[in-house]
Amino acid sequence: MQQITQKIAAPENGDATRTEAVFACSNVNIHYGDFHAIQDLSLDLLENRVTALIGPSGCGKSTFLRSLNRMNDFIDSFRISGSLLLDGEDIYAPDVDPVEIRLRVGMVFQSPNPFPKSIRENVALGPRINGYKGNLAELVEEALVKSYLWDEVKDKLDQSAYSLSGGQQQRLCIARAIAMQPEVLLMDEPTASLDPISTKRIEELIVELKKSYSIVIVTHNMQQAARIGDFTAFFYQGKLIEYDSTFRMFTNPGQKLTEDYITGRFG
Amino acid sequence: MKDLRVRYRIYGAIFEGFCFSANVLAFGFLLYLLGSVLFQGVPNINWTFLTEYPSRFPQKAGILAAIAGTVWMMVLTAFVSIPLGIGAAIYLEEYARPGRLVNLVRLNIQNLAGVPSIIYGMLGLTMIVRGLGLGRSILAGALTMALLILPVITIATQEALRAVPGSLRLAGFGIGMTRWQVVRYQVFPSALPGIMTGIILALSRAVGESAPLLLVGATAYSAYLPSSPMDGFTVLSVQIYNWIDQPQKEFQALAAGAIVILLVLLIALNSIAIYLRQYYRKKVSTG
Repeated sequence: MQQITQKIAAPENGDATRTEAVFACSNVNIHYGDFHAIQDLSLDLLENRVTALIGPSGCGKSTFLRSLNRMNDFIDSFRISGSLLLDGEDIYAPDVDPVEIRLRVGMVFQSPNPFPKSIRENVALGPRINGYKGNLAELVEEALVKSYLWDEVKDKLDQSAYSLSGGQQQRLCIARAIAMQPEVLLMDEPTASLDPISTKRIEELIVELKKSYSIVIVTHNMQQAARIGDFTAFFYQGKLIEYDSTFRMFTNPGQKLTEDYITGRFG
Repeated sequence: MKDLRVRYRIYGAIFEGFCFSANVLAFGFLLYLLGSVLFQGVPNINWTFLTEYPSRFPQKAGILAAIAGTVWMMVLTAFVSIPLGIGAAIYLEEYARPGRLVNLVRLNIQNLAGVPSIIYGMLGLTMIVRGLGLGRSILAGALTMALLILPVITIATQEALRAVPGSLRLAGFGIGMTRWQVVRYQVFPSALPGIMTGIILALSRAVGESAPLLLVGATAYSAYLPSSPMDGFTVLSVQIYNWIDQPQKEFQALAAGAIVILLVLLIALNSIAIYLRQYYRKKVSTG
């Protein structure tokens, strides 16, 4: 915990209440073959907060995001060292089943990828095949309400998810993820393929969702990080350059590199 | 400048003409073949022809045994080859770690699909008829046919699986599905139309084949209906082959009749394939 206080100064934007770390990462190194994608990274991600990961393309932010729910396991040359603790438990310990981790840490992808099934089935499938005992219809409604989609789809739950617009599909993907009742939601540029209005809706949704979930979001959009992030982490060439409250990062960054990136001097 | 334009216009016209005549030639031959078969065959198709066993007398000969044998053969072949072919393909595409070994296996399956069918007949004769001691039975024939179309089914299934976008798999894994759940609930249903089409086309190939079955021991004169997989048998394609071999003109006319029946069967199978593909294509996005 000492490490955190070192790195995160008390946020000045009124968000002074510190919460527990949901993820504690220390000395994480990630290699793809000979490529050193993440170099000696240590940071804690806080519960019920939105943490935005920013940085130029290829800086390692998406790699780090995907390592939080072991989605990198599908890449053959992927190697990781160091410790990533989820609620104090090492998610890369040999006896840990990656599927269990992904149940607790859900993921939303860059472009909407609903299942080729009905709207209802998109949300209900995951819980059902994992033996959800409660009322599925209620769960579906709850997830769709939480993801701000219910009013738009409640009369056409049996239609194909492909009949929805891109923004609606992305909210459906978020509903699908929260129906699994995870602790953490990872979002990899969730608005990259959406128009400004859909983007705004998703951002509002994310701010609402942090009441129940811890959210880590990768974004290329600096304004987005400023709008929704409680904390921002700036990555550059595989290194974590700076990690602080978003307010500090955008008003008084500690590093010249951060300032140059945020003000658009490169990247 | 202008000369070049004119030249390309001429090239274009020549190329179009060539493509057009290729079509006319292929289609023309097909029409001629169909026409002559129908012309010779259809008059021979009557109730006796459909319900009688083969005979030395053309007017009394029928194809009942061949039809029954063909159906037996198709069903047994399907039973053996479909689970094996789909299983092999799913393993190669979804489970096996990509690498040199998998590539080698893939390449060899492609090669197997191109091996002449007579080779499979020889394999069946040595390994199944004699090796396994199944004798000249329907089962031996069906196993041989299953070997023949196994690579075809495997390749078709592999292609159907590969056509399923990777984002769909990631979506499943991203919400904590196991590999089995992803395959069972996402990948397989999406690939099913393609798989079905491949299977039916492979089965229609099996129905049309005669060479391997001649080796494995389909009989020309089967005077009874098979009642178990261990019975002797004949199939339409072998029956046709035998009749064409007869010196009498009447038998050759009978062969034409049997060809018409075989064609009807194949067209029916292909129609089912097309129907299933359309049906599942619609269903897959809402089911």
